[in-house]
Amino acid sequence: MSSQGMNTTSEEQLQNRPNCLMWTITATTATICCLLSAGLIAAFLSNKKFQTFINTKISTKLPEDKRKILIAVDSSENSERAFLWYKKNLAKDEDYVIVFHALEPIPLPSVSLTSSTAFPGDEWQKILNTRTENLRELEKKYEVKLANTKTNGVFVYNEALKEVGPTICEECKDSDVVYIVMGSRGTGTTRSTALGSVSDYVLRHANLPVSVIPK
Amino acid sequence: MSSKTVVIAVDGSKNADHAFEKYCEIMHLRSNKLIALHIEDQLAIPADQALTLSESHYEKICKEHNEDIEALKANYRSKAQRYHIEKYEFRSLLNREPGVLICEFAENVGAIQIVMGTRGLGLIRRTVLGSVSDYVVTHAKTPVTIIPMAAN
Repeated sequence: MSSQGMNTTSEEQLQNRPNCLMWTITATTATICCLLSAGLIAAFLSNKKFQTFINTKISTKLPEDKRKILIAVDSSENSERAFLWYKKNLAKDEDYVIVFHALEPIPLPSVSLTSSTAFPGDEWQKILNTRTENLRELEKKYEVKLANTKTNGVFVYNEALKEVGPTICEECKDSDVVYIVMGSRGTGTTRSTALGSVSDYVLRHANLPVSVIPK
Repeated sequence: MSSKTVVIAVDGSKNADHAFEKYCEIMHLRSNKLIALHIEDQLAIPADQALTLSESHYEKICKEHNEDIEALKANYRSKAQRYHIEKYEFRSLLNREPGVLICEFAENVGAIQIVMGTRGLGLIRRTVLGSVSDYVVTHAKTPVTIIPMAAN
């Protein structure tokens, strides 16, 4: 009996051992794969070069006890006047100002003019670098303004995948904004209407009080 | 701090009421002087009666018109009191081009902004922005704040 029992148990053991082994191998491989992919994704996201490609949102923690005012800006002088007007005429101590810039979607060339290779990598790099530089300048400009006027606030930017107007409205919803301040025109080139297309869009769709500062 | 004037265009519509209250709630500063501006349109005399209107009938129409304005004035006055607006004025001006008058008035009093609702008592409901609000936003040299009804 004992020998049979032993045999069966050892047989069972023999049967079980490969299963155990396979299980541990699978588990280890799975863990390694997960860690690798997580690492790759983190590296991808943190790489500054790639950040300009994808829709990155600087998510700052907004103070809960203060009411949020959104000032939509671009690099125009009209935006600067909108900021000053808010500060001079509307600002309250309990305000937290979100100076928001929506990056316009940029057309990237599909053909390279300099190199014979099909992918216009150099052109893209140049365009994206200029874009990032301009963004950093704008960010600095408004951070200085916030500091100089002792305004409690932050500069936030987001990429507009399609249009700037909807992105601004989206930001207002996400950040629980009380009202919006913006210039009537930005850096756009169309001068046919008195009200710029972005201001017009936000005015009609934001469902919030919007103050439009004329040029 | 010097007193800053804010002009709010009112017409008795729900939109104007809402804009008034919202302004008081979130934008008014205690030092601000608030002027509620009402633009009167011409008297509502039915076209077919215009030539045969008797004096008493005309007087009746005028009286009703003035009563409406007084009611409107009282309505906004009570709102201003509710929000403890210290410097408050109600002005009613007669003009056929309300948009133009609002812009000019705001400039004359040196207002820092014009506050309006999106629509007034107008009949055309297809547009988001009523004709007067639309005019003022595009033509005013003063900053304009449009307060929509949906704002909570």
